[in-house]
Amino acid sequence: MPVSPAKSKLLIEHKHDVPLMSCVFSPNGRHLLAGGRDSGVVCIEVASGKKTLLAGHESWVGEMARAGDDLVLTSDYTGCVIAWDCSGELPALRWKLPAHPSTVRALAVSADGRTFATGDRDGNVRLWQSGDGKMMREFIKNEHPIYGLALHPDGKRIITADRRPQKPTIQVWDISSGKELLKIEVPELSGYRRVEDIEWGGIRSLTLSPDGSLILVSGRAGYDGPATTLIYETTSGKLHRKLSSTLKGFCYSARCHRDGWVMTASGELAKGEFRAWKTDQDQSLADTATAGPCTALDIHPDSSRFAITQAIGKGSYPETGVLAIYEWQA
Amino acid sequence: MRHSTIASITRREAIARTLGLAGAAAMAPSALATSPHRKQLLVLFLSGGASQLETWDPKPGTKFGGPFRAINTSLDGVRIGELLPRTAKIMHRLAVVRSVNSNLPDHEKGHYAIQAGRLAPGYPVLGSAVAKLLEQPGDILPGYITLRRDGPKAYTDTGDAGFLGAKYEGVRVINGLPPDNLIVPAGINAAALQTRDAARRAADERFLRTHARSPINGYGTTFDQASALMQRREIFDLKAESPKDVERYGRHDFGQNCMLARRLLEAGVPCVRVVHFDWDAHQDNFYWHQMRCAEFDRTFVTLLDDLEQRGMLEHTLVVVTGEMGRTPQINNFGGRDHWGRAWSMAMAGCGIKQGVVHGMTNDLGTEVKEDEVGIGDLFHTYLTALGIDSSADYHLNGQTNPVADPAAGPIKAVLA
Repeated sequence: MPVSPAKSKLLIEHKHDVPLMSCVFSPNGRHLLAGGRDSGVVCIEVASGKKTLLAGHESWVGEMARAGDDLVLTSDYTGCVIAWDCSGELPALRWKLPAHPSTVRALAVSADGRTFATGDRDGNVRLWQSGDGKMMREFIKNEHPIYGLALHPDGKRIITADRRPQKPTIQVWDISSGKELLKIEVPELSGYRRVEDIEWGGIRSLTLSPDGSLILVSGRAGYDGPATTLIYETTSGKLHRKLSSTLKGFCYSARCHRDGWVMTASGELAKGEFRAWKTDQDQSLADTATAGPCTALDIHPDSSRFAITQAIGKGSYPETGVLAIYEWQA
Repeated sequence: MRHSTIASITRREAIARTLGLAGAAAMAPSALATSPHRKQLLVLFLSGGASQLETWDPKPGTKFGGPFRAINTSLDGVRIGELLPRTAKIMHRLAVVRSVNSNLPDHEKGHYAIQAGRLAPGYPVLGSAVAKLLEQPGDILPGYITLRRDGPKAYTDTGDAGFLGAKYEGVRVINGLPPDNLIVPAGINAAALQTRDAARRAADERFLRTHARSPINGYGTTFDQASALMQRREIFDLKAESPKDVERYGRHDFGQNCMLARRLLEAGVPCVRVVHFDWDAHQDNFYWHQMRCAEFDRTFVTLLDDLEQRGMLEHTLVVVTGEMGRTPQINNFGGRDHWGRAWSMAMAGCGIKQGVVHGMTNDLGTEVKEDEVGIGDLFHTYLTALGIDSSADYHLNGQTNPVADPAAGPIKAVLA
C-alpha cells in the first residue's frame, strides 16, 4: 500500500544510555540495530520492542549496513567489522575481522549482498566477501579520509566520497579496472578554514537511488551553513537537486524510499530534524523537529517504517540517546 | 623559601647562576671556557589545546573516554592514547604531568598564562624569560625564536618579553622563512649598508644623551640580531637537509618547523618555540586528533631521537604543552570544548627525570585527583630544569619582580 511521506507516526521510542549515531534494520525487518558512543550494539525486536545489547566491538560503532538475506555489518572506530547473522531469534556474531588499522568511516554493501566495501580515515578502500569476511581486493588508496561509499546496482561501479579539504570529492570507479570514470568536486559541502587548516565540513554520507541513477551526498553547506543534501546524476555528474534545510548543522544521513522520495536526518548542536523530500522539488514535503540531533536513519525493508537515532542532552553535550521507529501513514 | 641574596639579574649574573657560581664577581673568562654546554629550551606548543583524553591521559571505556583505545608504553603500567604509537615507545624518556589545573578555558588568557607562568599581565613569557636568564656574553643571535605557519589565530602570539623589553621579544619565523627584511635589497652594497648602520648608531648615541638607555639598547640589539641572522641565513635553508630527513620529520608545517628548530638550537639559539596548529577541536574532535596526533607523534619522536643522537638532549629541555586541555564531555558535533581544570603536558631532556608520570585525574577525567599542578608550578619547573634559580628576582628600571610566581614552586617529582 502506498504511504504518504508527509505523514508519519511514532511507534516505538527507546532511550539508551549513550548518544546513538548509526542504525539499520535487519534484512528480514525483524530487528533494528543501532550503535553509538560505546562499544555495544543495541538490538530492538521491532514487533515487541524488546531490547538486547550485542557485544563484540571494542569501540564506538559508527557504520551499519544490511547484507543479503540475513546479515547486518557493523564497523567501529578501531577499524573492526562484525557480521551479525540476523536469521535467528537474536542476531549472532558470524565473523569479526580487523578490516582496517584506523577508523572505518564508510561501509557499503552490493545489491546482491555478496560483496561489501569499507573505507577508512587514511583513505583506504577495501572490497570483501560478505559471507566469510574474506578480503577480495585492496581497491584504492585515497589521499583523504573516505566518508562515503556505495556499490552501484550494476555491479560494475563503486562510488567513493572523501573529506578532501576545500573540495570534498565524489569519484565513480570501474571495479574491474580500478579506473576512475567520473569525478565530482563538491566545494559546496566544504567547511574548510585556512586558520585551522582543517576541513570542518565535507561529505558525511553517500547513498544511491535504488536504480543507481542518482548519487546523494550529505553534509553542511559551508562552515556554518544549513544541513544539505546534494543529488548528482551518476552518469554525467550533473547536479540534479539541492535539498537544503533551514537547520544550521549537518545532514548526517539520507535514504531513498522505494517510491522515489528521500528522507534526511540532520542535527545542530542542541536539536535536530528529519525531513521528507521529492527529488524534483526544492522544498521538503514534511519536516519533524526532534529534541536532539538526528544522527542516522534507515528505512525498513518493507518500506512502511523508518528509524531515527538521536543524541540527547542538556545544551550541546549529549549524554544519552534515543532510537525511534516511525510508521508512514497512507 | 625565596632567595633574598640576588639583587638583580644582569647578563653576567644570569650566566653565573646558570653555572652554579656564587655570584657575578666569581665568574671569570676561564670559568666560561670550562663551563658545561649552554642550556637550551625547546617548546612544542600545541596551540588551541590538545585533548588530554586522546593523548597523555586516556580513559577508554568510560563515559567521556571517546572511541580510541589506550596502548601500552615503554613504561611499565603506563598507557597513553593509541593515536601516539611512536611516542608510546619512548615514554621511558619523558616526564608526563597529568594533573595540570590552569582553570583557564580561554585561548588568549591561557596562551599568556601558561607561557608566563602567572595570570598577572606584563611578565615575560617563558621564551623571553629564558632568553634573558640564559643570556651569555657575545650572544649575537636572537635569544628566542618562535616558529609557526602563517594565518594563525590572533591569540597565538599573545605575550612576549613584557617588562624585559624589546631585546628579548621572540623573533617570529613564519612558514620557515627568515624574518622579513633579512636580505639586503638589491642595489644596496656593503658600503652603503655600513654607512646606514653608522648613521643609525650615531643617532642612537645622540638620543641616549638625554633618554633612558633600555629601549634604545633593545632596538640596537634588534639590529645586531638581524645582522647576525643575515650572516647565518643558511640556518633557514632546509634544502641542506637530506630528502630522507625531510621525510622523517614530515613535510607538513610542524615537521618542517621542528627540523628548523633543531637547526636553530644547533646554531646556538637559547630558546625556540614551535607552534603546532590547530588543536581547537570543537567539532569532530576524534577525526581532528587522528590527523594532528599523526603529525605530532612522528615528528616529536624524530626530533627527540635527533636531539639525543646529537648529544643535544643533555642540555636541551623539551616542553610539550598547549594553553589548555579539552572538555571530557563530548558535544553534539563530536567535539570537545575548552577545559582548564584537568589536563596534561610532557617534558623531556635536560633537568628532567625520565619515565615519570606525575599526578592523576579522576575516573572520568573531569578533575585532578592527585598532585595538582598549576601554571606557576610548571614555570618554576622549566626554569629549575634549566639550572635557573626560579626564586630569583628581576631588578629592572627600579622595580623588583620575581622571576616566577612566588606562590608556586617546581615539581620536584619530575626534576632529575
